[in-house]
Amino acid sequence: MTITTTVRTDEAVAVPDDLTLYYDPLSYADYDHPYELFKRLRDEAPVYYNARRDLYIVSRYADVRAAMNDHERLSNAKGNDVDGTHDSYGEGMLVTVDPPRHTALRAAIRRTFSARAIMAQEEGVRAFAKELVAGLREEGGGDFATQAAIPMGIGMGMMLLGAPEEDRPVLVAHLERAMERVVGEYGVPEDAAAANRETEEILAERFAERRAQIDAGASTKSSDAYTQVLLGVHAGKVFPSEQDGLAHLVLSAASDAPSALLTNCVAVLDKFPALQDFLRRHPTMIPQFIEETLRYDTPGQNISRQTTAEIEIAGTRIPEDSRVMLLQGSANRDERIYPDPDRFNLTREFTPANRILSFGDGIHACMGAPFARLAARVVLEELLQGPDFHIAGIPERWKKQLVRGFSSLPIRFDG
Amino acid sequence: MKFQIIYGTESGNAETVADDLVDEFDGDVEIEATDMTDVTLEELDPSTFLLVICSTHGDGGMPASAVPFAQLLDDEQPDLTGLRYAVFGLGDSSYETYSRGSEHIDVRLQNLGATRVGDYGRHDAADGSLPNESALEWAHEIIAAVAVEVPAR
Repeated sequence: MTITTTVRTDEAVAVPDDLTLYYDPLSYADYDHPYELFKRLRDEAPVYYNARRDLYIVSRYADVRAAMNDHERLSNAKGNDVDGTHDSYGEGMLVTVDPPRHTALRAAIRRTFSARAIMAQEEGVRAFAKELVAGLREEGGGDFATQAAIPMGIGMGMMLLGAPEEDRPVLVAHLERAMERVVGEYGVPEDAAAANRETEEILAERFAERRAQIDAGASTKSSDAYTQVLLGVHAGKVFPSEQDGLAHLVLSAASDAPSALLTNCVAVLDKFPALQDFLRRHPTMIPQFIEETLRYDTPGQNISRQTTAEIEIAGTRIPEDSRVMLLQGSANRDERIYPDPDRFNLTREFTPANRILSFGDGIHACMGAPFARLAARVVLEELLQGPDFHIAGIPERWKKQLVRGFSSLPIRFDG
Repeated sequence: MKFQIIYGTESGNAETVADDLVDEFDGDVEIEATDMTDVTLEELDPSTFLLVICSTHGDGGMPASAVPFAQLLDDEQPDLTGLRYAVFGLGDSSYETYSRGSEHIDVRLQNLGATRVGDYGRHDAADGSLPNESALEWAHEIIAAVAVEVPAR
């Protein structure tokens, strides 16, 4: 044996082409650097089967979008996630139901998410954003995730629900517990599941209080979710057993992914610091920045479905009753749709034909997308009124595989 | 003349328009709003004037709450002769199929013998504006014209 810098394959050894073609959404590799893995999937295995997780993974934009619109053959009955998250949620959890219950439950909270109701939230979001940003600025910096993004996400959920201010600390604590996972391992820790159950106990109490107010003659004109769900129960459209799970969905969907989006915006502004001054001088470009950030580093990386029949996607046959993961994080980087997809491009044009899949498509498309965009715009408008900032220290990502964003993001303001 | 609003909605916007119309006109005229999903054939009576408020979903499709109503009309083929209605459609002109959702309902009502009257109201969400105000203006014109009519004997 000699020591040499010249290495060459032993011709007697057959090396399979796909030896390093591997993707596991629960793995550390995905947690750390998903996008290079996604590109190999799109090019070499647009429907990739991971035997260890017994999971089919769809990675190209066109296939992901078509699958999102095939809700009859790709059912939501087992939820959006692949790690057992939804087992700890109650009945009525919108993302774990198919029509006809899905249709009725979604209808029950339509008013809560109507454009008018969301636009009416702007003032409250701005006041809260000012307070959070001022807190960071006073200390010259801080943890943008725990001091701004997470409280804002929970705050958004509370605004939608119509929850009292006093619930904030306990709901923040529950979210942080509920998101705990072990990277590389399947499953939800018992304490995370317990946090989900405890959240639903709080929601049940608030429903009871709201119901008592309404029975005593309080107005039901408000669009908040507590009121709207109770109206749905009264009308027989929502079963009483579904109300807590439905409200829980409103809260958690408003919290984890939107707070991840806020942290991803800050991480992009750290990565390309010239954007900070540019957006400060051209605030009308902030919505474009948010849209490109949603594409470039998608907060909800994937959603999963269960096949109700054998289906074929990109030439691969997927048997009935299989788990199928739709990789939004990959679809949004698909070079077949987005030229030079790994480049952050503030002038990228989005139309109905190439719109980002970050919020899904079809009957389960995210109801909160307008609110997420509004809140992100307001927070950035407030943040950029101060000096430039940079990440100072080592951030931590959320460990739960579906959510890409930071649970801790230390920043310092310049000067 | 009773006014019956039927709304087809996906994201709740047509529903808030219906809420606003009831708030605006209730007391002046007899008016109520029903989700298209819950409309029964008995409600499609020539003694009521129908105000159809309907959004567009995806690429020119009907919103979820309009689908059961369209299905009901297709299955039962009721004779709607004598029924009069007006339409306000919601849409987004960044789609080629702008505002087509309401047209799926309009064509069915016409084919079954009903008569559309007044302006075909439309709101374009492409500029981020809400439909509520333009729908109120539209409804004021329709209701003013219809409510003053002498009832048929």
